[in-house]
Amino acid sequence: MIPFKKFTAIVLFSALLFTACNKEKKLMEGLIGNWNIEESERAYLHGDGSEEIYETLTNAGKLIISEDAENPSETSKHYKLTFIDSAQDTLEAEDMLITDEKNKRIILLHALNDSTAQTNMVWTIEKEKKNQQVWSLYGTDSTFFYPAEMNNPGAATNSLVWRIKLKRE
Amino acid sequence: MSTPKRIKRTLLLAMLFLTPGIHAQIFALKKTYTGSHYAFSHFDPTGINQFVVQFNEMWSDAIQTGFHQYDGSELGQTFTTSGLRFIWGQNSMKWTASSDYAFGAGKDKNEVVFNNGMTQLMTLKSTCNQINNTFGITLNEEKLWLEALYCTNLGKVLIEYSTLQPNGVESFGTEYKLNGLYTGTLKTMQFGVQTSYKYKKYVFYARAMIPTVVLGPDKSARGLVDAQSSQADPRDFPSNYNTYVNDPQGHVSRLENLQTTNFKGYSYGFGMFYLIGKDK
Repeated sequence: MIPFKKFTAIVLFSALLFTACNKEKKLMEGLIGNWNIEESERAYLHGDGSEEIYETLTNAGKLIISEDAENPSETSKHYKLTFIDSAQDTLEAEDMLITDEKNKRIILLHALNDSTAQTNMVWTIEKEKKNQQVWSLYGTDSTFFYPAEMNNPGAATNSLVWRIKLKRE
Repeated sequence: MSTPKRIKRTLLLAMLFLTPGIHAQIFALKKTYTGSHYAFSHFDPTGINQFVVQFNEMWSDAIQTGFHQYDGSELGQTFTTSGLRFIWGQNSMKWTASSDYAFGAGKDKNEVVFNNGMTQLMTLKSTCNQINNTFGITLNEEKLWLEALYCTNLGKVLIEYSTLQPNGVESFGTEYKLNGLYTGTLKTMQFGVQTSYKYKKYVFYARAMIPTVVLGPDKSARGLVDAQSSQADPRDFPSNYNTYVNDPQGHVSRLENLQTTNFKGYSYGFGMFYLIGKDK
């Protein structure tokens, strides 16, 4: 018979280990579903923290996140993004969505296409609820993705923020 | 020795030590324990300080407050440990041995502030997964234990490099190339000494150890890499920041990236553990 104290210690240790290991999995499982991009907001972000919004869109598209049927994984999911911008141009991308074990960032692999390469879109989770998510990504001056001055943070006159509010359908 | 034989031998040894009752006559003490200790450690700060100095110099015109340099003592770790302790022998000379698993973690925060209000954060973290085996003698009616210590340590070094945006959001995005989560591992064999004092069911101990052999990974795989980086190579955290920016081709093959071997060093710690079960 295992003494009660020993049993309690083992249970507590196992619970701690289980919780730590499952944070990433929990987030990824919670993201599965069809999300409506309820609002998309782009703004200049000034040094004092104030935001000057220059574009607001509502019902700007969809993000569908699902299990990858061919290769189910706890750490990555399949996504399909459709985003319609203010000029009614449509960004469509489909690939894998991954995160790190602490959910510091959400990476949409190959979400951006230009003439030379496909690159990733990296979002920060600002708010995370079962049926609502707020994600943001940042750029400098006039460039959201991979700006030229990406080594020197001191060179930026302004930062840019793109924030999307996702609502589960 | 073949693998099945090795497994059989391990199982036999495990039975020998774990089967209750059989060895009550042999062991004066046979207990599991759990506890914790704090370990002061020292690493070689040269590699990361090269990055700090070159980064601060390169952007000196735009920097309000630069990254601070490291003195090598920043990664002290708090350990939790659980294991088995044995004492056996004749009254004239009693031996003691233990085997435990210990997990330790420590971190240090650093930041640079630019004139335009941007802030970048660099959090240095290290974790250790240790299997410790001790062997030695008991003195003073089994209350004082003096032992040699052998440790297999799987160390992990992490650098979380982020940009703190003016609205307070910490971003690991693509707006700056260095933003990322960099990880490297290092497996070392360490030797040391441990002295312990038993008071009732509490044992107070001090241990010191030094890494002697690097067991892995290969020299070329000891960088701190952001495996999920969305940036072009190099994806390793730099030590030589000048070549990282100005001559990135071959930065890693020239070993100008930060190496996990920079973060090994001697350590010494103090702690306490509790012997589980009835006192003997």
